[in-house]
Amino acid sequence: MHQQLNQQHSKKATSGKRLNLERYIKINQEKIRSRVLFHSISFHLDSEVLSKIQQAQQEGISLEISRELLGDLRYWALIHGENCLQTELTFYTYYWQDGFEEALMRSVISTDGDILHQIQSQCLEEPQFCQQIAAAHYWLIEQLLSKLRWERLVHLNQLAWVLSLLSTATIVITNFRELVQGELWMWLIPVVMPWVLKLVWQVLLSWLLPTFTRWFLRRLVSGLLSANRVEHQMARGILRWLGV
Amino acid sequence: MAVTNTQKKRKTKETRDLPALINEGANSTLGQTFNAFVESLGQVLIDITALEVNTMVVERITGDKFIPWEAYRDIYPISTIYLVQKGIHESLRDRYIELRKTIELEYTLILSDPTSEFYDQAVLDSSTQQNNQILTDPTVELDRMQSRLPDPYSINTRQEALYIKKILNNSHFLRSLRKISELKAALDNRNKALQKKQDEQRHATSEAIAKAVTTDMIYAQTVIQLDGDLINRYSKEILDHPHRDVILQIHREGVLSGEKQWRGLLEFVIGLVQASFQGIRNGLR
Repeated sequence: MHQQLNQQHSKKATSGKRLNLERYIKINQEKIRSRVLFHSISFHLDSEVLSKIQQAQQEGISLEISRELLGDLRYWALIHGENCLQTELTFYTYYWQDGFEEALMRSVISTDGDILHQIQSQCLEEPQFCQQIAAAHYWLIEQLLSKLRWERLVHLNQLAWVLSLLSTATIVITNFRELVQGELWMWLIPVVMPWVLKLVWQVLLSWLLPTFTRWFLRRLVSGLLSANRVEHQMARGILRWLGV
Repeated sequence: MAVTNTQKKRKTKETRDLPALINEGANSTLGQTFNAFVESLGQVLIDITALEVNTMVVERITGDKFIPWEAYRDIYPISTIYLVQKGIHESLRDRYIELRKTIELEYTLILSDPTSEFYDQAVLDSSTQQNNQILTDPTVELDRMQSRLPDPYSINTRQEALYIKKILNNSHFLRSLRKISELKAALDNRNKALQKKQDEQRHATSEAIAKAVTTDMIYAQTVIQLDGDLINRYSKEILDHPHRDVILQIHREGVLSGEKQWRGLLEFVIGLVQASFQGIRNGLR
């Protein structure tokens, strides 16, 4: 039993562990006058990083990326140039060996379902290494793209609790004198109130949130597409801030 | 081996059939930008008929940047005479011609689509039927066909230049151009490799050279159709390739992973648009 618990615990610790390779991931873009052109995303690996990735794959550890990188990835996965829908993303894997970096794989993933994987022919001479590179390349793309989607923007239940506790606290503080001077049963009010208010907030929020998020997301996408620099930068800032 | 598959990704429905909610809030600038964006996503979704994964072995991976005007300018003049003049290897000429025909077809389809801003009634007129072979006959010879595409080499007016710019901004045309340009880059690289080999082995036949160069070609292709049908195609050259098993293994992994990669990208874009119509409860939770 004890052993089982331990195993469960260690499993949980591993699944909570994440691999951060942000130093090796680069977004390639180019600034032409006031426009920023996006070209690709590249991975810059060496033997050490490659074995870390292999280990992560075996242990089921996922890739950790910062809010900033995720925000930028989301932007480029969505928008091409300044005002178009992005239609494809290109990924490169470079490998660093003997003081020299070489591109070994390239993949183009299109939104409409066309995928092209390219392998550098010399890499095939070492089959085992080539398979490791391909597996790492695929895994990195998969990890990055699977993180794009928001798991949830707002946790309705948690938000309802926070608002309910805040409103209970406000009511208790403003009526503190009455509470102290009042009868003993009145102390039941601050105990029961959070549960009641949580339900009230939950109903209110589930009614208001869809309208709010609809407005917010349209505003966000329009901001990202906006030619107005301030509006555009603000939208990108919000996109980075939103995180997971 | 089917190198270009852009042709099969045809419109099955008219764009108008897609989100009926697009008009919501259309009176504001915010609404308009948003709607235009959703509309272009709608067009992409219409073009999804299958997931197609291609695996290619290349001599060198290059960081080619896609510049629509350049790509168009390089594809437009392709013809048999042009390819001979350019010294394109015999084994590749048909494939270059196919690419040029594909872009012609894409353009003609845009011209004949009543919902398109480029719609030209004259295209489907019976009097000009002989110019529409590209629509009806896949075996039509490029050199016998009259091209409708605007010539990027003879631009005399500002209007002509603007028209090309406009067509290059059309999301459907641009996507086709991008794919054709990607395939052309592979052909260009293969051509270089073939030329190099030919220089090394001056007396070898053209076929022998084509066989000796094993790079810059698609070796395996898997198409997973939306109804679940799966089609695998392999180029015949893979049979003689010394690293056949590795290529096939990498292709298999590429298909499995590609499916997840694509799903990640698509779910994000669709999820966001869906949530901005339906709100958080259905869209993002």
